[in-house]
Order: sequence, then structure tokens, then C-alpha cells
Amino acid sequence: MKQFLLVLFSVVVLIVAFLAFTHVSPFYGAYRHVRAFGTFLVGPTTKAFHSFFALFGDLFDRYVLLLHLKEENMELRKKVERMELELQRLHSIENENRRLRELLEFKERSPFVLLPARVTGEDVKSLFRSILIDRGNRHGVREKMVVISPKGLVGISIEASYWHTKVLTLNDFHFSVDGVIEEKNIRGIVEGLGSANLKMKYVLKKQDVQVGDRVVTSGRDGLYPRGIPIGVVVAISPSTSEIFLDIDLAPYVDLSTLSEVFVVTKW
Amino acid sequence: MVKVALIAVLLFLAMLVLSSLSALLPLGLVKPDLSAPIIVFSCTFWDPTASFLLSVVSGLLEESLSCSPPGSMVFVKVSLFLALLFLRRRVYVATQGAFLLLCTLSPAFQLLLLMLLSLAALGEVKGLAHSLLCLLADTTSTTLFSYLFFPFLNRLLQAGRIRE
Repeated sequence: MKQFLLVLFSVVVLIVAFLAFTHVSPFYGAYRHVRAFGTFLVGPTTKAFHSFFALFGDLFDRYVLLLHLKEENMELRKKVERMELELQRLHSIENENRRLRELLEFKERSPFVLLPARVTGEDVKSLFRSILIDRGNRHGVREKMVVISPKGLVGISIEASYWHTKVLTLNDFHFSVDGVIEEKNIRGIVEGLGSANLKMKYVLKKQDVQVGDRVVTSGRDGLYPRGIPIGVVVAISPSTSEIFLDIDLAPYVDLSTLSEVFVVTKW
Repeated sequence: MVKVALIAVLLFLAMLVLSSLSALLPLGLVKPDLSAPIIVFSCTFWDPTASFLLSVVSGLLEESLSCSPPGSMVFVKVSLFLALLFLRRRVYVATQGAFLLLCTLSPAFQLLLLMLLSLAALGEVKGLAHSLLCLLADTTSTTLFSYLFFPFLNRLLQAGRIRE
């Protein structure tokens, strides 16, 4: 009897999950509330964990440095240790200063209203590509807001909770954006592949596309403002469709080392 | 119930650690499925009710820390639980070898379900090549994680039995 009930409950959960997946309105709405609650719980802890690991990483780096200096004599070692640590600290401050100055300059010269955010987490499933940023509803972030970095497009916000926002990055295979090759005005759809590179689709074979061409957002999809750099053409091959080219792009933004981003709140 | 809550909290913390570390270190595709060993263990060695609850909770947690479509992870985890329940009734699976085998197979089973779900609901399956690459990485990391995690889960179970 107990097992029968268990199977029954499981089937009910499966049906609800399936209906939520297919966006059947009452189920999807209710499910979104449950999911939003889960996301709400995750928020502050993610930030705390991220800060802890960042601190731990810094301490670990310093420890490795100290181990290396052990070979020096005692007197000198103390001196070098202090100096190295100081130097590293200054170097780290200098790097941070430069990075923040670049971000500030970018924010000032950008035509959009930007909200700076830190990356606090990444997708736990290897199949999907997304990041968590430490800005949420309370900072004015909403769904479908464009996320950029000084180098170019990062992605789009897909779920904003009170504490943080989930951003679908441009290398996810669910991601697509209307792109245009700069100066040639050749349009196409740029899609993520799950890997490092992107794919530009639906560009006719007769079009003059060269390796090294820059691709930016066209602004015609209504979601992304025009002119945000997406990537550069790295390979062109004729696709099997006989009509379109198969264009590989390398994104400008290195998503693996991304630590600060901007949310475009107004454009 | 207390033990289920405790495991759910531990799973939640483990997922947060994985998410935070992924943002700091270049882990790439090395992201083990943390919940699969727990669902397999709780269903085969422990209590199916606990396994059911943990599968729902882990599905929701994974969706909170991932851009997976709504409902997909819960669907996949509960399906995994149902498949295990079926196996439990048909064949004897309560050994470490069987546990590892089931954990190894679980990423493939979940990916297959995810694709079928996508095909049934959306009419298309995107990123097949990438999915297969992820499957390879997921299978390897999940198997290794399960191997290392088994003694801990077993000890937890033994401790509970002694107290009872």
C-alpha cells in the first residue's frame, strides 16, 4: 500500500513537472512560485560561499608562496616573505584598481544605464551554461535584461529573485541573438553551442564573409540594443543546406574568467 | 524525517560549494551529479519514501542553481527514483558494486529522459554533440564521486541503525 502511494505521488509530481515544462499556465505559474522560493533561499548563501572561497583561494596562494620561500635563509626569508606578501597585495590591489577603473570608464562612456554586478556562482549542471550574479529584484534587475562586460555581450537575465539573478550566457545552446557583421550589414542568428565557440546561422552563401569579421548585435530582435560586440568570425564552411554558410565565432568575452558584469537596466 | 532534512541541507550546501567553486576555478565540464548517488543510495539501501522526498528536493535545488527549463530536473530525478524503485522490486541491488553501476548509468538515463522530454514538449533536441560530451564528463565525475561518497553514506546509515 505504502509503495503504491509512493508511486502515485511520484506520477503526480511527474505530471506537474511535465506541465510546468510545457508552460501550461496554471501549473507553470504555481511551479514558478515554488522555484522562485528555492532561488530566494539560494541567494544570500551563494554570495557568502563565493566570498569564503575567494578568501580561501587568496590564502592558499599566499601559503604556496610561503612554502617556496622556505628555501631561503631564516633572516632573509622573513624579509622576503613580508615583501613578497606586500608586493602581491599591492599587485592584487593594482590589478583590481585597473580593472575597476576600466569598468568605471566603460560605465561612464556607455550609452546605456548600467548596473554593476559580481559573478557569484555558475550552473551546477555541465549541460547548461549560466552564471549567478549578486544583483536581484531589489536592485531593479528584471527578466530579459541584457548582461554585458566591457569586452562584449555576456548573456541575458532569465530569472531574477530578491537576492540574485540567473544569467543565461551566450555559449548555452538555448541562447540566440540577432547578429550583424559590422560594416557589411550581413545579418544572421548567433547561437550558443555549449562549448567555447558560437555559431552564426542563416547567412547566405553569396554573402562576402571573411575570417576576422566582427559580429555585433543588430538590435532588431527587440531584446538586445544594437552594437554590442558578440564575437569574431574564426571559421567559415559551407553547410549541408546548400543555401547558408556555416560560420564559427569566437566570443569576445572569456566566460571562464568572468568576475564582474554589467546589467543593462535601460537603453 | 530528520535524517532526510539533514541530507537535503548537506546536498544544498554541497551544490552551493560546487556552484561557487565553478565560478572561481576553471572546472569546465567536471561537475558531478551530486544528487544521483544520494537518490540511488536512499532508494536501494534505505527508505524509498526518503528517496522520493530527496529526489523532489534535489530536482528543485538543481533548478535553483541552473538554467535548466522549469520542471525538467524534478521530472528527471523523480523518474530516476521510479526506475530505481522498479529495479529494487525486481532485482537485488543493495551492494556497493550495484550502487556504483547505477550511479554510473544515472547520467545517461537522465540525459535520455531530458532529451525525450524536450522532444515531446518542444519538438526538438538541441546541442546533441555537446550533450554527449557532457555525458562523458558527468559519468566519469559522478562515478568517482559515488565511489568516494559510498563509505560516508554507509557510515551514516550504520550510525542510524545502531541508534535505532
